[in-house]
Amino acid sequence: MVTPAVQLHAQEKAEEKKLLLIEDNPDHAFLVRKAIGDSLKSQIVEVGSGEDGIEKIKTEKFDLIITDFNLPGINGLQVLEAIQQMKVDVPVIMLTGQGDEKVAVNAMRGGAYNYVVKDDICYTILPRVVTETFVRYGADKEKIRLEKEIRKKSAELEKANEELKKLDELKSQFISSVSHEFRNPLNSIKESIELILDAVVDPKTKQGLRVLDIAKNSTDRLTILVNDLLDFSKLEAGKMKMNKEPSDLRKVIEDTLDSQHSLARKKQISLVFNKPKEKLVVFVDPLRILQVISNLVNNAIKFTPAKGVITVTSELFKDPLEPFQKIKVTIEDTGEGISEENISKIFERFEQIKRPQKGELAHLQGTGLGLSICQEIVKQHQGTIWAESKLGEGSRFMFTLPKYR
Amino acid sequence: MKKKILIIDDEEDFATLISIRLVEAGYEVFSESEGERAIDRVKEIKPDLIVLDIFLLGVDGLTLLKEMKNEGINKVPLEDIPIIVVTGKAVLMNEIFEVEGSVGFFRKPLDVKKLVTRVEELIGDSQ
Repeated sequence: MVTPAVQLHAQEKAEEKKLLLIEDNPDHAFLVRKAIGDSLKSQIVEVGSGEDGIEKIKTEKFDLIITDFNLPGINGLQVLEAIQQMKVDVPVIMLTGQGDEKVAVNAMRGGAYNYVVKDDICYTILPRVVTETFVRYGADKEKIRLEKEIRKKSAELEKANEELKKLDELKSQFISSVSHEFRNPLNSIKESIELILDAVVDPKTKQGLRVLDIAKNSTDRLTILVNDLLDFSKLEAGKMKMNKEPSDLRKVIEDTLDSQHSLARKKQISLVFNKPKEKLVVFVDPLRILQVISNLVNNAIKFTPAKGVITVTSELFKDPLEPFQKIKVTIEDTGEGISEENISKIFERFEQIKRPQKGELAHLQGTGLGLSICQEIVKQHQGTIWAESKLGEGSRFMFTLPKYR
Repeated sequence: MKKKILIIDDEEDFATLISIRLVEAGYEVFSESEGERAIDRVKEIKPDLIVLDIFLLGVDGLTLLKEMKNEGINKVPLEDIPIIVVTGKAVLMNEIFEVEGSVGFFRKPLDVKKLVTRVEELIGDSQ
């Protein structure tokens, strides 16, 4: 089907077409030239043999080729064949002698767009055949283009669909693991309380205190889970508000480290802050940045073996790709590091590469949302967050914040 | 002599809560949080019953269960030691039942009192 728009388009273009005419009979060539020249504005290049025609096609670009079948050297069908072999994309019209239907059929089979039987009236219909060829050729081109487009689009859709499926799968996994994560601490709290209610343990004894401590740890764990989930749903809905104000980053870092010291001490890990001499004023929501740093420091504590060191550094930073100076915060640990494969995934939602080592910190296990929350908060401060690590050589988490002017 | 129970669970807090109940019920309770060490501890303690969390760090509990059942401990087949399996996931249930000899199955969150009742049924003094 040829739409009118395509037809118009093709005709418009036909007015400036460059044609190659392969015709050994000068009288016929003259008639062709005249017939086309009268109705179409076009430039016609003329050659007298198939061989010359092929040479021309090799060096020049034509919009249409009209070739006679009966030529002195190779014939029109061979010319057609040569064009196909050279993979030149051009429509061909074959001129055949009277009673040469077989040639006409072969020409069409060989990829010609049209054929015209040489007779008295052929020169009157030739312009129409040429126009029709252009229309059909244009439509074919359009069809190929559209098909390509459709293939591209459906590949894109398929890819998007795959990604959605993957996300959906992660989400279901997440929901099932989160409900599990909720049940365990709840279970511990219930059991602890029952031990005391059933008078199995006396809360005043050492054992009683241990039981209460377990209950407390479990509530801490639940609190972390609930906060993560709330933050995450706010971020998803784009509803997390940032109350930005000029803040001294040194103080934010010190406050964060204060809150993490007791946990670090439990694991005999030293927290070091390379405090810069001058104030580093950033325009941020200090509570949210505190949340980012404590999340990163907390992770570092979880994944660093006893007696390790966690170093926090803040410094001026100039990204060559960005016009303004920024401030970079680095949290470096002496833990076991993250493999290359995993490091690309750690900021993805719901990804949890592994659980922290057993023992007293197990109750601090996260939801797999912590780092995506950090990333989102940093993003909302026009900063970037990334990680560098090598297995066995510790990890470095870094993020940037805009400097306040 | 008190009967011995070994709890193999990487959640130490929870193992503590279980063990308090079991001690209250009159058992001697040991716990092990690392799957890798579990078999050695079984050999060492020779428990009368094992409570095994199927989700352990390092070694997965199911493998451990199979290993204990197949190899036995000190050439003493483990058929004699009842194992109560505790798991957070129900999907593994069939697999657990395929391993002969697990005599109890509890899904987390766990009702510790029911666990104690089951222990009493299996190795209690009334037996």
